[in-house]
Amino acid sequence: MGDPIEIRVPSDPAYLDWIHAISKALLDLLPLDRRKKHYTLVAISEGFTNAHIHGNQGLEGRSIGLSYMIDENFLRVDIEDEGILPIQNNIDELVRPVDNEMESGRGLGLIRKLMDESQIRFNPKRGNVLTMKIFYEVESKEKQSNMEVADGNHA
Amino acid sequence: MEITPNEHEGYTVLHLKGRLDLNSSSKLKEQIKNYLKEGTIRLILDMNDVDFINSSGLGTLVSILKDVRMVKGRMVLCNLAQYVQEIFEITQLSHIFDMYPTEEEAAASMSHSMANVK
Repeated sequence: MGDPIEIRVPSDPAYLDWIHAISKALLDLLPLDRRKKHYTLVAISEGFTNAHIHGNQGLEGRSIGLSYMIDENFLRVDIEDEGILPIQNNIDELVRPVDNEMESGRGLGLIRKLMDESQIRFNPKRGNVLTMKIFYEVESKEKQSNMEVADGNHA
Repeated sequence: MEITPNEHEGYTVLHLKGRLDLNSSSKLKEQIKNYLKEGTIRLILDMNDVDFINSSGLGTLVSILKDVRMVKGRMVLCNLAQYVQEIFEITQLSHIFDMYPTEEEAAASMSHSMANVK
């Protein structure tokens, strides 16, 4: 794995457009199909939004760092905030139960379903770090199973 | 997010264009709040040109749906792009929204529900 591509932007939703454009340009260079590219863009957007709202608590003056690591088999994206308190180290414990009427709280669950691997860890020097991986060719069994369920629901 | 209204007899179609995320969803919510205040309570959201939605956009649509229900109105979605529709299905929100493949079908459904009310 080579050096990561790292960027840091103010913790501000106005930068979502910027992050979307940069991420899309990078994803277009990778051997991912259109669905995986789209899902990765959604997951990155979720990660950024989560870092802004929950990690940085929407406070001015904080920033969000994104790191794109390109492996020969997968893309790894790390999104770190400047949260003082750890959100939680286990992403599964943060995923809320499904309630169709809720207006927020779907982000981490969506990341879990869209990406092949995801985890959150707390680094005392950096804040909360969300790590997500998407593999170029082989989907995980869990992910394939999710897609089969989705296809079945669609029919 | 660009929002273009097209008013019809008994309902309004809002053509949405762009991405529906944290940055853009407040504009949509604000505009629909204004419609509801003015008494326009039957809405079709044409999502043909929405190429991206995340949980913030979904949450906003849920919030708007609740507002519409509060005034006993109706809101349906149509023309969802494939990957946008998949996000609705993955989050199971396809169960609570009325979604139609075309604007014509959405309009027919709206006219049908208006006839039933009469």
